[in-house]
Amino acid sequence: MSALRTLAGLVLLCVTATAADPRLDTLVPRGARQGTEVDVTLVGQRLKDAAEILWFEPGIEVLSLEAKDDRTVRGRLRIAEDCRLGEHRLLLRTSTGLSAVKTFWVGSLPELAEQEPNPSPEQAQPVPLEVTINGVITQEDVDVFAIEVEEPLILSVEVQGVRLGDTPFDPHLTVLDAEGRTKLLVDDTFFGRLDPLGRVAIETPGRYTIAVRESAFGGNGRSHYRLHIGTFPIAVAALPAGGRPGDSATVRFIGSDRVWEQSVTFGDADLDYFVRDEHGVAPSPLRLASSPWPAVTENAREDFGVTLSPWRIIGPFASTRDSEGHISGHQTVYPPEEAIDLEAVLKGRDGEVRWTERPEWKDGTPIDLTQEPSASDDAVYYFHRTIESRGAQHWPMMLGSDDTLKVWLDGTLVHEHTAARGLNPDSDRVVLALSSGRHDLLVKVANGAGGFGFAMRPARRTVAELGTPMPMPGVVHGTIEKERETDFFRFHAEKDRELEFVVRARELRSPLDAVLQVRDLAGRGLVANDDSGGPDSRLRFKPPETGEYLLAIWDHLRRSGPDYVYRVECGPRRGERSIRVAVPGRPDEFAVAVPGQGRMATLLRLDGIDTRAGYRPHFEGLPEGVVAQVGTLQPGSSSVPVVFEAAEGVSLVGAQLFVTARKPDDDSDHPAPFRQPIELVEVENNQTFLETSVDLLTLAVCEPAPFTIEVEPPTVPIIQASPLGLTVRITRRAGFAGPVRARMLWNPPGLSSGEIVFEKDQTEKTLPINASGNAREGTWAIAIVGRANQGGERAASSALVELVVSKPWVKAVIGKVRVEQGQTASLPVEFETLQEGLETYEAKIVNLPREVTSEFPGIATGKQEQAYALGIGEKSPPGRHQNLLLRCVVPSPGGGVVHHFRGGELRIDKPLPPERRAAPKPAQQTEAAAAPPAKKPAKGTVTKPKT
Amino acid sequence: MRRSILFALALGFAASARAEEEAELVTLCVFPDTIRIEHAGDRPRLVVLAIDADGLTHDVTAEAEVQAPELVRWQAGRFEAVADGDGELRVRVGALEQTLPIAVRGAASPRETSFHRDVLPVLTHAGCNSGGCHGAASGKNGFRLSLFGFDAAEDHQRLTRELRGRRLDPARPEESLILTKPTVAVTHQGGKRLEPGGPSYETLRRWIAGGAPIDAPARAELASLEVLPSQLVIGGADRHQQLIVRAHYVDGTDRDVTELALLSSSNDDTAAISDRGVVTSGRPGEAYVMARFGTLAEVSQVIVLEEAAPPSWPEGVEAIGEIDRFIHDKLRKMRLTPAPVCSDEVFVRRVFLDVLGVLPTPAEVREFLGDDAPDKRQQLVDRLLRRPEFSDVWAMQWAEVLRVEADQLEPKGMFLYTELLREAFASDVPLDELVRTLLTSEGGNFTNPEANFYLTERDPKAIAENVSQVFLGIRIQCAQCHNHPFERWTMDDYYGFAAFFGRIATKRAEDPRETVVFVRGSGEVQHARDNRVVAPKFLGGAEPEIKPGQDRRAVLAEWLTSKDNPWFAANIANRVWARFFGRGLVEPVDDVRVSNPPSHPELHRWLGERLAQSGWDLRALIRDITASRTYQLAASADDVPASAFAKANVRRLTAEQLLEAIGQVTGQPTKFRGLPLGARATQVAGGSPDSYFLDTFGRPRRSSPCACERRNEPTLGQALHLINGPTLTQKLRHERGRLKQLLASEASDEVILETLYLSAYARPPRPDELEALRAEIEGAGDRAAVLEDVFWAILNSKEFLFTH
Repeated sequence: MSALRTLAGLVLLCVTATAADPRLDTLVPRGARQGTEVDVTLVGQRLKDAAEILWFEPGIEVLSLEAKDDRTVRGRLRIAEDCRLGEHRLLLRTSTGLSAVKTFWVGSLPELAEQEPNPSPEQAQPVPLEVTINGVITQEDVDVFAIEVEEPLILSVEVQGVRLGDTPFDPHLTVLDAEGRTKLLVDDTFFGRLDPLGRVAIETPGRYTIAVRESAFGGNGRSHYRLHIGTFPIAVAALPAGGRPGDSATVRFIGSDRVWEQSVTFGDADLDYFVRDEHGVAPSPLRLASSPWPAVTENAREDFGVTLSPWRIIGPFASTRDSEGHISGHQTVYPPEEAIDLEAVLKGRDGEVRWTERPEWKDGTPIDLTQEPSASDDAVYYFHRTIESRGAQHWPMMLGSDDTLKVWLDGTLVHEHTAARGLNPDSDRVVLALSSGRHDLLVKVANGAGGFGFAMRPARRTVAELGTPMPMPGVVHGTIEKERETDFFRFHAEKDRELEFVVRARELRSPLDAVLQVRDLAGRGLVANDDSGGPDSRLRFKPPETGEYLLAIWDHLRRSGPDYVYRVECGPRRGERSIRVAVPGRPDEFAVAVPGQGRMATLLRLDGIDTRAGYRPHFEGLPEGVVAQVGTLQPGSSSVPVVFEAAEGVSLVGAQLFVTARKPDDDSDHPAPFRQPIELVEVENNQTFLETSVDLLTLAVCEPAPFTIEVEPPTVPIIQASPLGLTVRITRRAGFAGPVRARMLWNPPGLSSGEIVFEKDQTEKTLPINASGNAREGTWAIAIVGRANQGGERAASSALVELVVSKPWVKAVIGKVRVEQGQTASLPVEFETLQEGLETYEAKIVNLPREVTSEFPGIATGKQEQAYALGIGEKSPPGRHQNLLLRCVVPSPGGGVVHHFRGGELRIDKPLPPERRAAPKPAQQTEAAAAPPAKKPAKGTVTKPKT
Repeated sequence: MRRSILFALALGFAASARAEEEAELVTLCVFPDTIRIEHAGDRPRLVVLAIDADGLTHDVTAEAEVQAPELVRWQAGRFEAVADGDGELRVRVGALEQTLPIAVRGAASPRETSFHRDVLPVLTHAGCNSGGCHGAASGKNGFRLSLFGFDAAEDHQRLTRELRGRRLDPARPEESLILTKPTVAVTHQGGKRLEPGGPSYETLRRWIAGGAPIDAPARAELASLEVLPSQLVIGGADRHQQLIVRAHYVDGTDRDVTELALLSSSNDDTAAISDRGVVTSGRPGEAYVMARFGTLAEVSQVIVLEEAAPPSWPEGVEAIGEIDRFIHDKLRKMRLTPAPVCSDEVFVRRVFLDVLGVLPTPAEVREFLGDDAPDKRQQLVDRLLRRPEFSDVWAMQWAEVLRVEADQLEPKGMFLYTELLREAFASDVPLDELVRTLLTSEGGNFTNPEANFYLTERDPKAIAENVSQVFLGIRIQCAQCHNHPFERWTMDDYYGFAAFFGRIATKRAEDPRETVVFVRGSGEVQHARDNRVVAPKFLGGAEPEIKPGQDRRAVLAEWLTSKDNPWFAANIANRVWARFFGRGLVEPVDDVRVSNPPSHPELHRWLGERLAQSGWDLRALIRDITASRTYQLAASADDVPASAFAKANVRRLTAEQLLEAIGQVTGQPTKFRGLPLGARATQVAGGSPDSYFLDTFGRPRRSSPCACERRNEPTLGQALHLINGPTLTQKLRHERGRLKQLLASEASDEVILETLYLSAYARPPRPDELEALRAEIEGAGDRAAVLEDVFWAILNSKEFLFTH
């Protein structure tokens, strides 16, 4: 059904004088082709004063924009020829506010609108072969399109439904031939999430129909889709799935029906890469990651195999034995150890010697050197061969020698046996770390007396040797391709230097549900993780020893496939470093709408940034006349309030701000980027299903708000566990009498506060705030945000003011007392002054029960115990009155500093009935008599303050 | 005659009769087939059974001439040992004779009183350890025994150790509480349970005097139980037949336990059973006598016929296939005759409703009635089996017991799960494969909809219960807390079966709505009694060897769906049978147990074998069933039990059939929310959305796997809803409904009436009906109003509401 018809059915709301708080639901069509102009309709609420579409990147020009009514805005867009393909983010500015972020898709195929009725193959809407159709699935709707195929081809079909970000729409796709046989049926895909896509070979020319519906016959007016039909390539996975910024690499793209390679240059950040071939461009991108760390790709096969050249031998060289039998030739350095020159003629023990090739020597068959013509006791021979490896691998071999043995790989000694021994072919196991390419293997055997020989054979590899050697820090790529496959990587790690391993597989739309494990070389699991980052695992590993370890990765359900690719980023722990907006209680308030001649506050979070280093947010691109007042970042807190103020006379304008963090004395930008996640689709229980992000902070100067708001800078600190009242004033603009709700922009750690409402005749109120006992000490920037409704919500904030959170200046501990109704008692309180030079202060218990009177005993500085004389009324409620509240007001130059102390207990008993009183004493008004005349003296009844 | 012989052969040791010499009795059977006496005091019974030419059985033990060797004494129907040795026993009744071996051991040595063999049976027989007395979970008045003595060791412990030994007094056995209480020598709330000096009393006294020992466990265990003869056909009331209950122990010995067993009859009116094991016949019918001993139970079938009923079988009633042969055999035995074959009109309506859940259209009725092909019924079934509604019906049937419903499952998962089932039936996935797919499912419940199977229930024990009930027709729930009193299922069986599901885990998938089912490498089920870890064990089968890393569920699925599994195929086949006959051979279909035997055991087994042999082809089984004469019988008013399948059982349309039928007949199909127009009630995923109509007419709520959730009995609410509820009236009067359209088409009364009759009843109106209705219409002023009334009456008639 066309969206327009849906719109026509909507009842227009009564429009108030000024609209505000614009809500943009979507814009249709949901996309357009590069190099075209397109009419779009923006649908939402309170859009009457629409002024501008703000994009986050260039490529789309707004040619016109006109509000038809409060719910509809018409516009015309020009998509540049070179406009970036894919998702473009935008928001709508009205003269009174900013909408939420929505998406618009740029494609490469000609575009068409769906036309109803098209519910069946018979009534299918005819469309050309290469096309993008913009449509909507209403409840139980089925949309069918017909194409004529003239020659055999591979048909590509892709639906973008949920990925358009409008609603949790779950499209279902079928392709039928003329006889109604199903050629392709797709529901969900890992690549498209709920969106189907696929390719099918069409051999017989003819009419084919393509049907789209909601998979459970749901759908609503917001279930928009873009259906792409054509012969474009589809790739659902790439290997490697990323690279280093600026590097070019050959990437293998994996599609449902083919695999091909293409050269890719990686970007500074993750790249949305559109695969293309001679048939066209894929409608949606593959994400290729970016990281400066070096990367390796797994050995696709466990064993690359090696090509071994025949052995060459040279010798004998001289050797001697001492009285203890040490063979001197073992240590004597002969020319082959210095350089391998297969043509050299060297001086041997018995004259000139040359390298001779011995192709008859077979691996695994011991070489009996006593058969050599010149072999004898006290001789040294060298053996040489080349090893050609087709990949990086650990290659184990078994060695035996009679007597001593030395092995060099590419000139590096890798193995040595120094004592005399008989020939056992499997004496030593040596593992060669081979990189791809040719290597020189040099072996030296020295003989003392008797048998003289050497043996070598390739060995089976252990799990440890199966691991592909990887750099650390580094990135590994691979595929879980074979059934029940586990991939291993081998890395070196320093003791106690914590490493972090982050899988990026599902994030890049791989079906893999990765499980990660770090093992020692014996194969013992040390740490493992499944699903710490959603389906993508991540784990931290603190190596118990410096040495080699294995990283293992497999699919949780032991599934596999050519598209089960993964990327694991491995290195020292890196916190996510980013700046974003996070206003408490306003999860969708990313953009800042500053009222003209007024202020608006927002709260930035600087994640992963060293707060002690003095970084402050910095804004580029502020409109003229707008200034930012930035709060200081307190140690241990990542939140920074910012207030933007528009001077008088600043025109209505929108701006996309570039946000960084800078040190005050250092202009070089801190590398933390501004990255604002934007939730597009949520499913039941407000769980995020799909989000996008923007890298600019949107700000707009709007019409003045109907009020301004100020907060009086507090002259006294707020004390831990105590309250403070902030004086807030508003000034209404003429003609506005509605209520204004005001609350703190944010509560610094340990503070809490509520909301106050200014009714129409109120201009000044106190906003109570409370500090918890562990409220963080410091000087915090705060602001008050007021909100009022004026045909939608309008907001304005105060300037930033500083609020000091302090430790208590004094201390009080309330004791316990027990008393009967109608008696008097004395409640002990221990006071202590914690700061020098304080004047005496008032201290009052403020929550005594009904009809209980107290007398303030007076407090001196220092430590002391005082007693409050309590008078209990006849009707004071009996029971245990706990958590008494003592309010102290300590004088200071700025005013009284309020301290609250809680605790203690006042227990009021009913007097016993007279007959049950044991020997009632005559009424004595002494304090001692206040204790109930029970059998035992009342415990805890304090009669006199201790001094 | 031939059947009689087969029957006898099946029962025991039999000899063919010399019919020319003895006309009446043709076969002599002796039970048991061999006599073994193990010790002095062992006094086995002998029962001599004669079968006459009509297939009736007679207890001729009293008349029998028994020639026993010197080894034994034959007295009052029992043997007593005299000396050790082997010999042969001769039994003669008239001209019929039987010999059987007899062996005597330990004639001089009485057996020591055994706790397992003697004491526990006495306690069980006296009712001490029944659920209402000391066998209750918490015992009674401080004394607790295991239910029916399934935990001998613990019972021994409680008898000998608790209460500081006061329950037993070896020095003065008579003073033991265990004897003074049940003889009410001291106050006993449970009243008098033992006769002082009686055999049971003596058994207990001897055991106490002997020091109250407990047996070595392995030796004394019960292996199996027999009730002999296992089948009786008694002609007339007040005849008696002695039964023998024999216990077989794992050490190879056996024993006559008739007096110790608890005996009961499923139908006392037909066959009463005494404490001593004597059946007394009553009204004609069928009954099962059940004997319980130890933890086992076994039954014997008793058929009682009219005394004077001569065997008669109508001319021309021939079995069409195997199914009919089984049914006819039993009908013959019960002296019943099957109804005639139904008319084509009845058949076409019945088979459409049963196979597709919809009514035939008038055109389909006309086409079938006009077809002259001799095999047109079978051809029709073949056509119907290929229609998509067929898959919908079976997907719904399975979805019901698999509990596909919105409270358990996320809507999308539920939808995909239903689709998966529908697709499986549409594409002829063999049923065993479907079950294996479900049992071994893993992955996200969206990407692998079969994984929803493990989301309807998460507790391994409950999964095991459901799997057992749904796929095997066995309810093992009771065995969670105690060994089943009427069944073979023990707690060990229960927890062993649950252990197959102990490693199933779930986690959230990427889509927050989706759940991933997977198998962990660890996870065990613990026995409720002692918390020990129980290894996976097939129900009533072996403990399989499971390799590390192997999915236990796969091992189970292999066993469950194997041809050797005695329950699976028969249970699935029986559920199919029930769909076509309104009741199963085992009824309820998911309660197979010794005490609820199939009405036709051989047919029950045969159907399962047939299903398995056909490659688990549901359609082939349905072809067999619908091709049978038994399925095609007409309904009749004869008062014969439905379980005999001697006539068509008239069944109310199910909720979905009825709603669909009303939609079809009125031309106003019901529109279901979330499904396109034209979707049928059977296609509603998960039994939702809410439909007052479907709920009123007994649509199952799917809150348990029990087949009993679907209710087919008529209620007042149903009648009222049809008489003046909105469902029917709105459709009836709808502007685009059938009646309005017929009226608008200016069709004649005859045409209108015929269309209504054909669409609702699958038959044209009879002349007398036509006559009466036309008179009614002509006599009235408002033709449309009268026709609406006629239509309403048709839709409220029994002929419409029932399958005939």
